[in-house]
Amino acid sequence: MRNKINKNRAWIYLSIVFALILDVYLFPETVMQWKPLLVLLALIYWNMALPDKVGIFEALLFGLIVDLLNGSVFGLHGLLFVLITYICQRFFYQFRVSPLWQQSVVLFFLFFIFKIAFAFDFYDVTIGLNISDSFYLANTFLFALVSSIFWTPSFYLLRELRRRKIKL
Amino acid sequence: MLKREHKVSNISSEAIFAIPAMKPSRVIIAVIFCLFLMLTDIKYGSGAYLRSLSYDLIKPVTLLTRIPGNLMEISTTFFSSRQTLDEKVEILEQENLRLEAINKSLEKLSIDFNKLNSLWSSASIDKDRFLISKKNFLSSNEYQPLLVLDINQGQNITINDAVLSEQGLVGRINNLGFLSAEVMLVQDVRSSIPIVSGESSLHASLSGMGLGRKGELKFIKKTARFLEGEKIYTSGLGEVFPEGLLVGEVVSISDPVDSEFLKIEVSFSSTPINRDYFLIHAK
Repeated sequence: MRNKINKNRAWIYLSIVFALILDVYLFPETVMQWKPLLVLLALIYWNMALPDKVGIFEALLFGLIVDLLNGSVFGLHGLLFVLITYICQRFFYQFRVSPLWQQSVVLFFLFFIFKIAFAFDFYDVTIGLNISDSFYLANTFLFALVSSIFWTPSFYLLRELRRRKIKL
Repeated sequence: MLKREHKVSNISSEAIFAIPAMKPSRVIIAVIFCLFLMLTDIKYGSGAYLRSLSYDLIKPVTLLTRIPGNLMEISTTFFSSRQTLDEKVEILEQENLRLEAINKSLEKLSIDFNKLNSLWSSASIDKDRFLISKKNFLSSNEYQPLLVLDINQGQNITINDAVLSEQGLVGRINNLGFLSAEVMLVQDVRSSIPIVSGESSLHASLSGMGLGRKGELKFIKKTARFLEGEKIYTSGLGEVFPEGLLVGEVVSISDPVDSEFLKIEVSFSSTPINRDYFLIHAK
């Protein structure tokens, strides 16, 4: 039993780590300002599919790793990942039964708010740097759109992995 | 199946998958923990220490990601015919000839510059101080983009060393690990570079405004006469960057009514996007 649980956990972690590697290395640098955050998509999927196996610890852990890789304020991704994970788990009964396009729409708004959080200047170095920057808003919109579009393929891929490898 | 994964109905003995959501108390603790981390990073820069270590840890992953590309290259070379290889050699020879010609003209130019004494103190630039470094990755952080470079142990690289490309200044070393170095780019909002303009010879401080955005010269009095299109070089003041490195070009000068300073935008000459190799100017 313990072995099976460890195997399941290993597959889940492996998929999130794989998403993390793709985030860093897969996309060309010209689209880096609006490339989707695959690691968050993977976390949302596992939260929705197996909410008892993926929770705050995973959200916090991978959030902090993304912070380290991204150079953002240490803890900001962790905080947002935890909040998004909580929202997903709190409403996962409603979320998982809705059609994929509706899920994508919900994720679009979630990702939009997520990206807006990075417009705040926590180091207080640039006067006037805020969400009124139209270039940033356009990038945020594109980021949310691309991430929500990526939700469907990510969902099917991870569901396939869950069906093949995760034994309950 | 674990007991906590489901309940069993007392009536039908069927599994009831009623999984409770995570406890709000745990979420609150996690949020407080994250806020604590953020505060320590903002106040004391704790994240910087961890970042330099984490880049070393992910180095094997970088090497793994390069394997498919390398394998593709090896297999293409292996299976390509002799004729294709001959064609490639011919192209490379032509390229080599072209580069040699360019080098010769550059040498001549450099001699001319020295003669005219118009080249910025080239004698002070020691070529042995330049180290070539390969890019590991570029973070997608828009306002504080980070460039991570691979370095070797034993290379005499220190924090605040200038990082350059052939197009000009890229940034400075912000953090050092054992096998990697983090670069704060000139586009970073935290970056401030002492500069001097090429034609009007005015000094100023150039701040980054984020990747893909133009930089701004800060606190320029309205009487200053910067010219649109003039080149901007490092002034060497502050002793962080060497003197005379190309940083960018003035693209617009405006006089806002509600400000006592001019708004001068600078287009950076160098970007780390789609570039693999950089030069580090070791002090």
